[in-house]
Parts: sequence; C-alpha cells; structure tokens
Amino acid sequence: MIHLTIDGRRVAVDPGTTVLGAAEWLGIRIPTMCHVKGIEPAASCFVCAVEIEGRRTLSPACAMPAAEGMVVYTQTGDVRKTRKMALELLLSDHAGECQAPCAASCPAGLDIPGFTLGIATGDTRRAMEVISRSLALAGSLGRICPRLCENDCRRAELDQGLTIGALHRYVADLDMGSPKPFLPKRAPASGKRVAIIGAGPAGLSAACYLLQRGHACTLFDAHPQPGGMLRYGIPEYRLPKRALDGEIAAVRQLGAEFRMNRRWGVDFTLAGLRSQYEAVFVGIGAQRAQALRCPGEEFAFPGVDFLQQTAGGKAPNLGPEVIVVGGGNTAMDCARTALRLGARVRVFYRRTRQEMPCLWQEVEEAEAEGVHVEYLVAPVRIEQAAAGLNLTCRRMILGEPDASGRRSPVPVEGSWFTVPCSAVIAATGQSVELSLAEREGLHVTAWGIAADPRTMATNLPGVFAGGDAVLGADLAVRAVAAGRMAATSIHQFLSAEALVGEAAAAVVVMRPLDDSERAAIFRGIEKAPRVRLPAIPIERRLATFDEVEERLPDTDALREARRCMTCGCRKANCCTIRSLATEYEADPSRYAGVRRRFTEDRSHPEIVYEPGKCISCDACVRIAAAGGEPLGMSMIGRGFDVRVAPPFGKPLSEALTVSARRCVEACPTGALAWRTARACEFESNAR
Amino acid sequence: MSRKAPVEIRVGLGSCGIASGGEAVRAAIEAVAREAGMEGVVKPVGCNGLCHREPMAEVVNGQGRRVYGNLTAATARAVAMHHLSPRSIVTRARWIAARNTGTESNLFDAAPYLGKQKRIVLENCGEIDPLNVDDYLARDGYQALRACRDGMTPDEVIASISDSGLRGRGGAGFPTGRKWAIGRSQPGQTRYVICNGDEGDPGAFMDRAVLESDPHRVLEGLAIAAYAVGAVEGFLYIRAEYPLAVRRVRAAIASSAERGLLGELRLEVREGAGAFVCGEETALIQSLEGGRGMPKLRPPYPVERGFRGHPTIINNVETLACIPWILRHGAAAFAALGTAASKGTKVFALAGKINRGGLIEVPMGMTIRRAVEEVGGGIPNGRRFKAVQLGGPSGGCLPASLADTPIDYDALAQTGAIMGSGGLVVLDDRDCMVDIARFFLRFTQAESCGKCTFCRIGTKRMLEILDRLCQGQGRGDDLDKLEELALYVSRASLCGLGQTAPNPVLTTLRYFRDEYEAHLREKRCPAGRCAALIRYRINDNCIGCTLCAQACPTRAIGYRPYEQHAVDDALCTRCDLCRQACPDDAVEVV
Repeated sequence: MIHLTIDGRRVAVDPGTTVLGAAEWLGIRIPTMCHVKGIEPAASCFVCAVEIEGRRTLSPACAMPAAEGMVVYTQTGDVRKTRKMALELLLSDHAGECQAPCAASCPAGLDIPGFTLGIATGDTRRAMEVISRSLALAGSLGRICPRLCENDCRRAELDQGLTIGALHRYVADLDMGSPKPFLPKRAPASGKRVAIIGAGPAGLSAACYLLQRGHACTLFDAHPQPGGMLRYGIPEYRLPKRALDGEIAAVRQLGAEFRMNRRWGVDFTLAGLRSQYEAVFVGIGAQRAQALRCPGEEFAFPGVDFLQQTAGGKAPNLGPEVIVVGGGNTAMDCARTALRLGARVRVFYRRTRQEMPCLWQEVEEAEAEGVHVEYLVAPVRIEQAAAGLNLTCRRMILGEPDASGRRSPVPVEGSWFTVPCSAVIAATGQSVELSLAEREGLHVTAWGIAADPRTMATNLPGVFAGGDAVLGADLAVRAVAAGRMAATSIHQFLSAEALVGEAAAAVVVMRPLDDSERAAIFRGIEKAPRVRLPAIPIERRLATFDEVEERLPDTDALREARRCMTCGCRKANCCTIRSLATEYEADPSRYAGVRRRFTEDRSHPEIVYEPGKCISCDACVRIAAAGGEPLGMSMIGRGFDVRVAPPFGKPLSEALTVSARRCVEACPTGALAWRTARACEFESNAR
Repeated sequence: MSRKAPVEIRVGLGSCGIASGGEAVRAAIEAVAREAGMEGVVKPVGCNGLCHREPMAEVVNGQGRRVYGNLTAATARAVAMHHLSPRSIVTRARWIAARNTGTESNLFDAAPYLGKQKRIVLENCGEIDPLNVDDYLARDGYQALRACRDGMTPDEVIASISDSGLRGRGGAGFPTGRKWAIGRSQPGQTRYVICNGDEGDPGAFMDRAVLESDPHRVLEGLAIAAYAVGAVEGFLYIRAEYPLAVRRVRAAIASSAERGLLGELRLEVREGAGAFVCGEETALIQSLEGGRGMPKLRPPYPVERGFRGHPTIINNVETLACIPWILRHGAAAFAALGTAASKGTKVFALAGKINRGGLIEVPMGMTIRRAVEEVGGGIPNGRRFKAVQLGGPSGGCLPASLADTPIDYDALAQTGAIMGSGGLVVLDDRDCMVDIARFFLRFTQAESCGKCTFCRIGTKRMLEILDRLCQGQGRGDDLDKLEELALYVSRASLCGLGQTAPNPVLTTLRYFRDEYEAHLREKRCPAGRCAALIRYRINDNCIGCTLCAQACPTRAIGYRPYEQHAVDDALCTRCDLCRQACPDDAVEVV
C-alpha cells in the first residue's frame, strides 16, 4: 500500500493508483474534463491540476501516480486559479454558443428553441411546460412583449427572424383553451407565507414561482383587479382582459390569495406585513405619470390615468381633437385608444422616429389606423381657450448624443406655433412612487427601490423588490423575469440557504461571425419568409376595442416553429466545461483572441462533430483507439492550430463506427453530440 | 600511385562548409593535387567551429598548420599551388605565375578563437575524416569502450561517470552517472539506450557538428552507456533535417560494425520528422514507437519505463561525446575543469551580433563575457553589447550587466536564463527585446504539440500580446496579463517545452521591463526595431550619392543625385536596406 496525504487527510491506496483515484477514495472531488475512466490519461486539460509538495509545477491528478509520502493539495488558491485560467483559455478558443442568441437576449432567458421544438414536433403541451419554466403570463407577454429576442434571431441573417412572441402566445392560448390547461407542479406546502405588494406582472410572476415551491402568497393591490399595468396600462385591443384573466386565474389556482383595493400606507404598512409574513416582495410598479414640465402642464391629462380609466370602463370624454405628447408605447396606446373613442389624434414627439422608445410596429399600426405622428415637436405651454386648449409648441432639431446614446433635441429659434385642441394627453413617462418606500426604511435610487440586481434583496432583511418598482418604467418581460428571480431568492431566504439568487450559468457567445461561419450555420437551411400575423380589418379596429392581432392558425404556427434553426448548444445543459466555468466563475472573454471557427461535420448518421467547440482533450482519440476503431480520431497539426479530426480527411462516419456513443458521452463539450438536437436534455429529464 | 604526401590539406565539409561552397574548394584543391601527382593529400573533415570563415582549408605540414578561410575555387587553387610542389619542372614553372593570386588575405590566425577554448567534445572535429574509422582509431578511438569491456564492471563505469560530475548537456543538466545508475537498477532484462540527436533550437547546431564531424565518438559513448546499463539495442534519433549527419552516422555504424567494434550492440538511426517537441524524451519515445510525438507526464521517467515499456536511457549527443574522453583521461581530469557543480566543458553555438560566430567549446566556469568578447571577438560595427540569449526558446535573455555570470548550470538558472543545449545569441543595442521574446515565443507556440491547455492556448495569447506591443497596440493590462500567463504556462504544462516556453518573456520582462513599458505606453521601440513604431529619415549628412535610393525596393526614396534625399513614409516598408547602404550615416531611425 502507498500512503499519501490529500488536503490534510491520510489515505492508503494500491500501487498504480493515481492522485485522482486516491482523492476519490477520500471523497474529495477534483474536477476533470479530459479524463475518461478506464482509459490511459492524457493529462492535457489541466483542470485536475493539484499542488504536490516538492514539485515546482502543478500536476495533473488524473495521471500522477500516487507515491509514498506524497502530500497533495487540491483546493489552494493557486490550484483554483490555475483551473479557472485553464477554463478561460479553453473558452477563448471555443466557437460555440451555450444559448441561442434569441434566448440570450430575452430578459427572462426563455428557452425559445426549446418551446419551438415542442410546437414543431406537435407537442404543444411540452412547449407550454418549457415556457412556464421561465415565464409566467406567457400569453399576455406573447401579445405585448417588445420581443428583443426577434431582433437577435439568427434567421434574420438568412431571411427573416422568427415570430417568437406570436408563437408563445399561440402555445399559451392553445393551452388556455384546452380542457385541462397546464398547471405547474406544486411542492408540498412549506408553511411559509410571503406577502406581495402589487399584483402586476412582477408580483404575479413572483407568486407563481413561490407557489410552485410550496410557499403561500398573498398579493396586496390598490386596484380593484389584479394585473397591474397589464390590465390598466395596456388597452383591450392589444391585450384583451379575458386573456389576462385566464392567466391570473392560473396563479389563483396555484393558491395565490388576492387582497384587492388595499393601498400601501393606508390599508397596510410594510412593517406590518413584515411582522405577519416571513418575507415580502415589493412590486409596486411605476404608476406615477410624469408631468409635461411646461407652463399649463396641469391641463394635460396623464396618459396612464387615461388608459386606466378607459380600462376600468369609465373612459373620459376628451373631445374630438386629441394631442398625445410622447413617443413611448404608452403614447401609442393613448393615441390608439383615443382614436377608438372617436377622436382625431395627433402625436407630438420631440425627437425622430429613430429615437422612439416604442416598437416600430406600434407606430406603423397607429399610423395605419389614422394617427398622425409629428416628429421634432416639443410642448412649450398649454393655455385654456374658449373651445378647449391651445397647445403651443416649438420645432426641434437633433443635437449631440446624450448619456443614453440618443441624440438630444435642441429647439429651433422662432419656430413656435400654436395648435388648438380639445385635450392634451401627457405620455412622457412614468415614475415610481418612492415616498412610501422611503418612509418605511427602504433605500432608493434615482430610478426606484434599491435592490440587488441578482438577488432582488433590498436593504431590509426579508424584503425583496423587482420590476418597474426597481428599474423605473420598463418592459413587462423584465418585471416578469424579476418576479421569478426574486422568487428564487425568497425561497433561498425562507429555506435559510445562501442568498445567491438564480444560478447564472456561464455563457459563451460566438461573435462576430465571419462569412465562413455563416455559410456553415445556414448550410442546408432553406429560405422561408416568416408567417404573416393575422389581424382584424382596419374598420373593425377603429370602431371597436377588439384585439387587433389574432392567434396564429395551427398550420402557420407549425410552419413558423419549423423555421426555428434550434440554435444554441446541443449539450448546453450537460456540458462539463460550462458547468465548471460556472463553478469557477470563469470569464470566457478574459483571454479573447484569435479563435476557431464554427464548422460542422454531419456525415455521421447519429452524431455531429463541431470542431469549433473541441478543446483538444483527445478523449475521443483515446476512446476510439481503445475501442478498436480501424480509423478513429487523431490530433492533427501543431501549436495553437492543433485539431482533432478523423485522419486523412475522412468523414466522421468512417472514423467512429463503434465508439460513437462513448465518445459523445465522454466529450466534455458540445463538440461531439447526438444529432437529435438537445437530446441529452430529454435524457436528463428522464433521469 | 601517388607519393606519400608530405602535407595534408583538410577541407571543411560539414553542412556549414558545404553550404558555403566547400565542395568547389575541395574540387579545386584536388585538381591541383592530381596535377601534382599528389592525390590523397586532401582530407575531407567536418567542422572545426570556425563557421564564420567557411569555406576553409587547413594545411598541415612539417612547419605547422596554416588556416585559410573564405575561400573560392580560385583562391583555393592558389593555396594548393602554394603548398604543393609538382615534380615536373614545367608544371612548377607554370604554377609560380599562377599561385601569386594572393592568398594572404585568406590566411588567418585561428589561435585567438581556438586558443581560449578547451576541446573535449570537439577534439576531433575538423581534424579527422568522419567517414574514416581508422582516422578515429588513430586518435585513441574506441579505446575507452575496449577498456570498459576488458577491464571495468558496469558499476565501475557508472562510478567513473558519476565521479566526473558530467551532467546532461541537452538542457536540463541531470547527472549522467545517476541516470545510468537508476537505469541499471531497474528490474527486468531488457533495456534500451537512445542518443537524442533531435537538436531543434533555432540557432543551435552543436550536435549536428559533432554527428557530422566525429560520428564514431558518439557511437562509442552510446556503446559505453549500453555496456553500463546492460542494453544490447540502441537508437540514434536524429532529425531528418540533418541529412548529412544521418548519412555519416549510418556509415559510421556500418563501418564500426564491420570491424566488430560495437560487439553485441545493435544500433539503428531513426529520423525524426521535424517536430521540435520530439527532442523531449517522452515525446521522442512516442515517436520511436510510431505514435504522434506528444509528451507524457513524468513520472514514470523513461529510465523506469520508456521505449516499449522498458527502462530506457536517453542521452544527448554532446553528453555521449564526453564519455570516451572521461574514460580515457579519467574522471578526475574532467572534474578538474569547471565549477563546483558544473564540470567539464560546454559547447556553444555562437551567433548573432558577434565577430567570430561558430562553434566553441569552453570550460565551465568561464564567464559569458569572456566567451563573447575573447573567444567570439566581441560585437561588430562598434555597437554596444546588450544581452545574450542563452538556451534558445527555452532559455532566457541575460543582460550585459550580468555577463560576468559564469557558465554554470546553477549560476545561470539563478538569473532566469538556463544553460540550455548551447545556443548563444549575442544581441546589440539595435535588438529589441520585446521582438526577441516574440521571435522565440512564436517558435515555441508553433512547435507546441498542442496537448496541454496552457501551452497550446496560453502561449498563443502571450504571443498575441507581444504582437500587439510590437504593433503599438498594447492595452492597459497587457503586461500584467502577459506575466500572469507566463507564470502559469510554465507551471501548468506537462513537458519542458511548455514549462520553459515563457522563459524568454519572463527574463526580458525582468531585465528590460522599460522596453516593454515604452512599447505599451509610449508606442515607441527604443531599439528602433519594431516596424510599426519607427520611421526612417535622412539627415543632413546626406551627400546625395543615391545609394539609398538604389537600394530601396519600394521606391520610397526618390533618385536625386547631389541633393539631400528623403523617405516617403507611406511607401517605406522599414526594410532597413537604405540605412545599410548609406556610407555617411545619413539614414536614421526615429
């Protein structure tokens, strides 16, 4: 027997045992990548590096034979740093992307290829399951989300991006209309209770994920009905109340308790909630409309109030001639709502269309419906006139870019003009009502309540905040994401775990793509235009508040889902280098430099080889050799350009005839993977 | 039949001699000898180390030795005529006129170069015909081997080598006697000996010269090693880029086997296929076994488990070439040379900014400065001695301020440089240290086998940083990143290639950090070397001779006789030809 010491613990092992084997025996985990059990070690990746007393260099534990009296350290700062550096170096030459670009740009991290795959394979139930893993209120968001994902859809570089929002709305609507709509599983009741202030998108989302974890949730809201801005800030024609109600019903079904018409500071206090509940989530949104900041601003009608009153069925009478000031979605919503109420509507925006924060589609639709948008116009004052109001404006030109990167408008001298109108709607933004929060001891920022961006924790223990309440008026999808992330943190808080928030897996991106890569990515993909979204005719739009866009017909949804190229890594969730990069907090861009290019060998009937992701660990080379492959894999070239490939330029199908399965399983990256996209995910679910 | 020659004319026909026209010189001299009826006076020899004088002929006669260098066919002919004397009076008369071509400028005194050296490894180089085993035997060749076999036990041989203090000359400096002792003590019957002739450092040619000039000496050393450890089979792994060495060693094996000099020992030459890393012993074994030359983790060391899993003793060419001398002269004689921990001599390939470049063998303990200034004759063109690069891509740069460091394994290691296999590149004040580091790192990066993460990608990232610096595009934390990478590449690589690859960077960072800083912060190359950071300018010294304009390959200098010339920066490629052409120091680098 050989006696050695690992991390201060003595162990006796048989001669021939490696340090890795000895550590395993002690239950000490040393990370490995190139190591394959039962095969001669390569000792190439160096993530199993350990420190051995008396050796100047670090030693690969997988290959180092244990020796009598050896003293090994597996967790020193130096060892950890070496591993981290090894990972960072490998990732700097790793042409792959863990996530599809669309998913990467979704604030909620929605697994888009995952759910489109469900639709494409006819399994919409599964699609719904995938969606609800990261997104509550999928149907509502599918209608109103600005869909940052679609901008980044890789297909946009080939023909047109996928209509992702319409697809998840399709899935959600289909599910909602099914006899037994999908309801996430609930963990057994934890006995813990969470109070949620604000039943808007952030609060509902937080409730949804907290309830799934078995915690009881009570939502307090000043409005008569839940939904927050989704109900009161977004007009019926964009998000019909029945769709929203259906999704809220699902949250209720999970066990949420709603206490409506309860105002913070009047009907309850934060301090009071903290004493009755184990944790509190603050998701009060950004409710306060910003004033126009010009003389006579008090004559303008606040946009959010207008929308809220209309949503509540008490549409104010604004007269025949309405001017909306602003360029965001609220401005467009106000304009189109006023239009439906019978007014002639103009929108004044102080910059140009390029700088408008609202969606292009919104402007297009508004204009199609007859809204007239004037750019580079800013209000100077509002005066009461005999027949209504006189709005005086001036023309602007664009100057230098400001801090946000947008070019700021500069007034043009002597360009004043006055427009008579029956009403002015101020839709220039909303802000968070912070005075209450401050009074209750919450720290605040210029935007909203101060909260940790990862854990959503505020300065008060057990109090979390998210959504517009933290970010200022922002996208609903960010609020929904914040609710989910807060739920994770609150769960950690309630279970007395370390408060770290959602695990942020390391993400490798592949940018910029060069022409060869684009060609490789799009090889074999036929061009196909995106489906047209069905919409009701203009006449009906002008006369009613009926939903403008309709659900995709089944055939179109299927066709569109099949356009999805299923980007992202086939092994994203079972990739060793990724999980180690996450564990060691490796920064994939730290040593960025020249890198491999994306290519694919699809010659094999079962597996795909992406040399760009290969880390030259040589595991497949050794497995193929041990498996008696006549051809096998080999390392080719020298220096940085070493590549693992079948020898003599042969296709993979000839190289791996009997050892493909073992190679795929041993490959620590997505370089060798099953052809069936994301098969391992299905496998890991089965496990 | 020719008469017995009173003289011997040795013509250097190592690779260096042949490359500079040695065969034409030999032909010219042989033609004269034939005419004189004195065939056989010409002796093809290897390289005596005076590479800067090739092609060369040495005339040895009763009066002593006269060395002629930089010969052409014509001057060689004249030299031969001068020293050979035909019997025919007619021929002699004809020669008198012809030989006054003037060969005096070719005659030179080799003593300053050779005199300060101590020749053990190179004792026969340039003296004997490498293909003639009798020549080697005449110089006590194979006596040491015979003495071992006839009168010494293997343990006595090992003890003698241990006592001599000989350490491996391949670079790492492991005590040879100890290696043999470990090899001998291994269980099992089968053992192998291997001569590592995969010399690959840029600028190093010690082993090549020995293999080409005195192959039997290496065979004898290897045979003694085999006797000491009990091996009956051995290999000489020689890189295929040394075809002459391969040919001569094969011929030497054949002739010694024919004479029965090697006894039972079977020797075979195996050619390396051009991978630098195959000089690393575990990679060399992989290559011998038919695999891809990739190093493995040691332990187990080859001496425990090597070729085909058997104990294998691998020694470098120069190490083996020391062995016969040690056994002939005794361990004490060898140990009397050198310092406390570094005994004997060391062969260096002297190159770079040096007057007398070539192969030198000096006793250990001599300072670098003496080797450069006294043996090598100092720096040409009145430039300033700035540094030496020792040990090739695995070695480091030693600044002139540390040139009094003795040639000693441990003293050199302390400076951050290494003894290495013997490359010694002399640098002057016009050499940019960042560029030098980049040169060597580019080599090791390209030659990495690609196995270890740090060596494969880490050196690449280091090289990218050096490229950026030389381009004037360095980024804020580049030096810190470079240093950190260097440290970890050296600590987290399996073999010597990766572990030492950062040495040129680490030593230049240590001794010439200001140059790095200048590249990074001021985008300036203090040595005026990095093309992206310099401009050429013609100053008032210009006499309008147009030589620069004629030399310029891109017409960046207009042709303006009797006027001051000017460089068009947009066209200039910084090739430096104008500066070299200028007779009046009018071209300057700014």
